[in-house]
Amino acid sequence: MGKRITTRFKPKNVWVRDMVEGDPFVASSLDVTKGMLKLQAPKQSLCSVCKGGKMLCGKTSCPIMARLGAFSKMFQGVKGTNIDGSSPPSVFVGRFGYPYVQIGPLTPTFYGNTQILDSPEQWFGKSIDEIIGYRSQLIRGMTPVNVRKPWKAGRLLDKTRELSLAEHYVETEMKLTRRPTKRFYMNGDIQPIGPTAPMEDVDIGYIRWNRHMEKCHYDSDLKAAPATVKLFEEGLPVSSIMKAFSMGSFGVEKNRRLVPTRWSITAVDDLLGKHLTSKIKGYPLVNQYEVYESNYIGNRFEILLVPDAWAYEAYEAWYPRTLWNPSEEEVAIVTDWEPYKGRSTYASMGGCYYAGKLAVLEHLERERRQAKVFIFREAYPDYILPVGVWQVRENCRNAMRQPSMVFDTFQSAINNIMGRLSIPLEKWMESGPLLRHTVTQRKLTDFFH
Amino acid sequence: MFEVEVSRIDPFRSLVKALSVIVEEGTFTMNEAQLKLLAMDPSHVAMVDFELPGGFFDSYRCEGEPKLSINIKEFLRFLDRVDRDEQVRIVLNTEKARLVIHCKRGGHSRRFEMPILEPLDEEVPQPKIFFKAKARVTTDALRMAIRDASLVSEHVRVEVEGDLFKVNAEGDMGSSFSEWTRDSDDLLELKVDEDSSATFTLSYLSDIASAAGANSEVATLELSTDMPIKMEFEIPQGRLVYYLAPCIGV
Repeated sequence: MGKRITTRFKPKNVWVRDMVEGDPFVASSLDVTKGMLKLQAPKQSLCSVCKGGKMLCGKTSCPIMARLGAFSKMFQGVKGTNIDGSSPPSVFVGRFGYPYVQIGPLTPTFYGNTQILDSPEQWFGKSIDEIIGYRSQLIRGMTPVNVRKPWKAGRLLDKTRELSLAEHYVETEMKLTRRPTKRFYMNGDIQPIGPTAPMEDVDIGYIRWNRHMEKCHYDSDLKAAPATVKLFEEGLPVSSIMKAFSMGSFGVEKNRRLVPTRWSITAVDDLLGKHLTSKIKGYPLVNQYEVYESNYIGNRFEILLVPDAWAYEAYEAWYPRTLWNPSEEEVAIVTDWEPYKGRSTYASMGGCYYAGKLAVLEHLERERRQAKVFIFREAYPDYILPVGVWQVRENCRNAMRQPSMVFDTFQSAINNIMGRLSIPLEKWMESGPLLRHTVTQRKLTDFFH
Repeated sequence: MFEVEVSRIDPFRSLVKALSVIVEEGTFTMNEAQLKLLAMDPSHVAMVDFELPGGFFDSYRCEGEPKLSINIKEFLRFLDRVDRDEQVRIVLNTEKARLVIHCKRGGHSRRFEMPILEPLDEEVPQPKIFFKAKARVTTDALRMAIRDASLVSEHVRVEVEGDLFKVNAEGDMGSSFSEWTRDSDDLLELKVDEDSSATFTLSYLSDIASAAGANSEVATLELSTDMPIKMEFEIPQGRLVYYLAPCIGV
């Protein structure tokens, strides 16, 4: 006689149970009962077969598992709809729905010196798990705002803007309208970010503004570009300038507007890049061919300075089965360049182009030199999930801090670089006009004496 | 002391524009008879050799041999503001280190001042090449051939072979060929000591051909295999010559 079945139901959250089997820490911290944690995976994704164990995507460790761990840890601190803690300080301006965007402060659920949670300048050298940890701990409150009429958001906007101008971590209390959704996307290609919920009210504790930023903020006749340059020259970290820039704190009064965080990062990189480019054009050339390198979280950067007038070309090579290259076998090379006069259109490869350029220009400005610059980047499968454009900036900055390798000829310099890169020179040459041009173009000075 | 007057700005502006495609900051040297500029582009790939006699201007006064270093792009921006029917007087004020542009029409006068720069101490090499082939062509024909080439490639090959003058380009997207025989109306003269050919970067060549072509009907090209090309654009008064270094192993 068979057993009598009383009820039948579909198991909920099979996903997580399968995935976390091997990880008791995550398993114990997750509340997998119905309605508490939502999991979403793209249809036909490899992840549903792999479950974090078989590495079917080709990456060296599972990005979902890495995020899931940080995610569940963070939720232990969330109780109810009041979130309070020390904001690093950090603010976010969304980009979806522009010009109607979601803005708000970010704060963790604990107090103390939280500055590192949103200071990419200090992140270089940390492991990818640590960085995911930093990012996932911040809870984002949000409120809808028209970027051109930010004052309509009133108090919420004022407080958020104050945060962006602060020079230290600030005690922040957010009142959310509902608990942050425990929704977790089973997708290896999205950036690690903390949870989000609409915000009703926000209060901040003692705050001291950075005096340089304050000055620029109250100067309503100073355009945004000169303000950015001025702050940079005062020595403020680029990430702080970006935060204030995104909150529309600078510029001619009537033109001020909010700028989505993602756009403001590249806007600031580009503004500073243009400023430094015009400066270094007046400096003498580097004496020899210089090579710099840096390798960090699955990204290898090789930077070549050629003694020639300023020009810049950046390459990114994505290995098969890395983030932006789902192809099984082919390496994808993305490239863009600019001549001496600069470029007027947006670089097709995106923010990395500008971030890398800024890092190298800072070095040239320090050394008072001019050069033609090539940046080669290879991204390997252990770059498991995108961490943001800061990685390019800091990785290149690190390269430029290293002692240079010096060569007398272009050939020996490029051979040295190719010794460390796994893609052969011909492939780079095929895709980059400036590199081709450098190899073939002769100079008049070779013929006239 | 240096002072010139010109009643029609267009020809002068067009010449300055032809210089600006190569030179960012340039140093003019003046004497009693003419003003001269010999300068290379920042990456030393192209060079311009420019001379303009005093007779080009309505009045030309120069004492001694002053030098004038200016940012040519900026100078051009000021000249762009001058109206066609304005009388223009350009004066070098060495005490204030300013170049002053006076414009006058009837009772209305305007004045622009721009800073002059420290003279550059860069030494510009004197071109010394013996060319093996020479072709005199109309600038229109040259510009058309260069525009054809820009469809398919970043480089263009200029070639003199027997009785033919050729401008060719080959790229991934296809190729383009232009050929002129001695019968052509566009090819005014062809002199060949030896068949010669060289490849050049198209962006330089098209900048030069379009900016200089606006001043000139006829250009004389001189070349040798894998050596720089000399392009002399015939202008009513003075001399406008460009040199461009070749590309090797394209």
